[in-house]
Amino acid sequence: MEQTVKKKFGIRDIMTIAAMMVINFAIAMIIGMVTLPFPVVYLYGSAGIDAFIGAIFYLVAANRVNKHGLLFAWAAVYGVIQGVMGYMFLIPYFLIVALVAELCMVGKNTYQSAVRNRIGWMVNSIGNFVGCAVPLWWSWDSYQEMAANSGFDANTLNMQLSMVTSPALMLLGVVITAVLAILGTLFGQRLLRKHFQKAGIVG
Amino acid sequence: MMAVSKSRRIDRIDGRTVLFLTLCACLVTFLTTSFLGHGIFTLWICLILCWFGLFRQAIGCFSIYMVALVWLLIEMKYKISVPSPLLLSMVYKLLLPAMPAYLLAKIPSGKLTASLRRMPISTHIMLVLIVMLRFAPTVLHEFGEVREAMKIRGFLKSVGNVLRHPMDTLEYAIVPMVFRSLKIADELAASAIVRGIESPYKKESYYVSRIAVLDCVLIVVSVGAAVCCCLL
Repeated sequence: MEQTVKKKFGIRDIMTIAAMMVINFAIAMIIGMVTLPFPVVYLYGSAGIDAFIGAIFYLVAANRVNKHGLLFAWAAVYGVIQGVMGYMFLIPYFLIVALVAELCMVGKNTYQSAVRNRIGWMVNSIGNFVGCAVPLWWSWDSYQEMAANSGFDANTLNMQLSMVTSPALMLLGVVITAVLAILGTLFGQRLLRKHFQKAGIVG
Repeated sequence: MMAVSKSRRIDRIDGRTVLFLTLCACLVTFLTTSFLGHGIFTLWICLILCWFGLFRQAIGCFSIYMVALVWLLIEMKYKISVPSPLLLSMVYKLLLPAMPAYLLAKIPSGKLTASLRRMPISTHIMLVLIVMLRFAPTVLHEFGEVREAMKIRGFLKSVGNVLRHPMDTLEYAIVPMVFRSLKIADELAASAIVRGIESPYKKESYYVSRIAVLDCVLIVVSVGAAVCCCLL
């Protein structure tokens, strides 16, 4: 069996990662737009739904590239995109998430191990969910002003505030995200076996 | 003649300037608290797009922006919630950074790579970002093709059918998307390797990458406009 190698990324690996990430982000944006009118789903479920669908693209990239640093690059690029979109203070946060997620993948052949991929992806997804709360923790007052100018109604704002200030509700969101991330990796593994491994495009 | 003039204008701008404009647009979207400030900066970006010959896109974006903004103001005044104010807010806020990002995507990839190579970014991260930028329209096109194929084969015949078999629908949509995207990624990789992207030596570009007077004017005016719009 091929082992997870410590070699640098080749151009084919970079293209594979970029292709999978683009589809993932495009779908995440659609999910964001669809769930936005339903505040409860948007707050507690959108990160989980992203994790569920994104798991398929991550698993294809992981099994195809099979090199350390992939999950770090995935989370770091996500952080850079958030930074370019104005949330500069999220870049260090996502670099930490990227580092923690990558640490979950330490070892040989981990990017082709279903269990390790499940753990790594779950950590990354939980990081994304908690990342939604960081702007609110960072500066609630300015966020409130910005939200009021953006058409957020009082109910949505209260719901957001109670979510980020209540550990129990944050935990609920984390559990929802983790469960959906795990289900996503199970579904992704099924697709890998059924289609991609048979076609010989992943290891 | 007109087409030559348009392409020359886009060729004259440095990739870093457009990236800076995108960053300014993102910061204005994030920091501005008044609709007026946001609207003025959007108008400025629209004028830049028009100057580069992208009239249709600029007018289209600005029309959608105005409809979303006016509708949102009406909803806020009369306490209406259909369509969701959050959705309208997302549309008008995302359109501003999307416009300079579109201009960024219009710059030839060789020129963009040459410009970004001068920035202190890891080559791998830079390549991922450039490829993502190039790949986005391709993915949208491919998604449309897959959707058409699914329609023809009857997988999208009704909403009820999709809701009854959500996992099957997801599978039928995602698997061909991934196959097609990986094929394109492999072709792009082969093309880049043939052009020497993996060569360890210092790379030169066909395009001259330098910040010229036009870039300086755009940067200075945009920074000034961004600061004024945020203070409004």
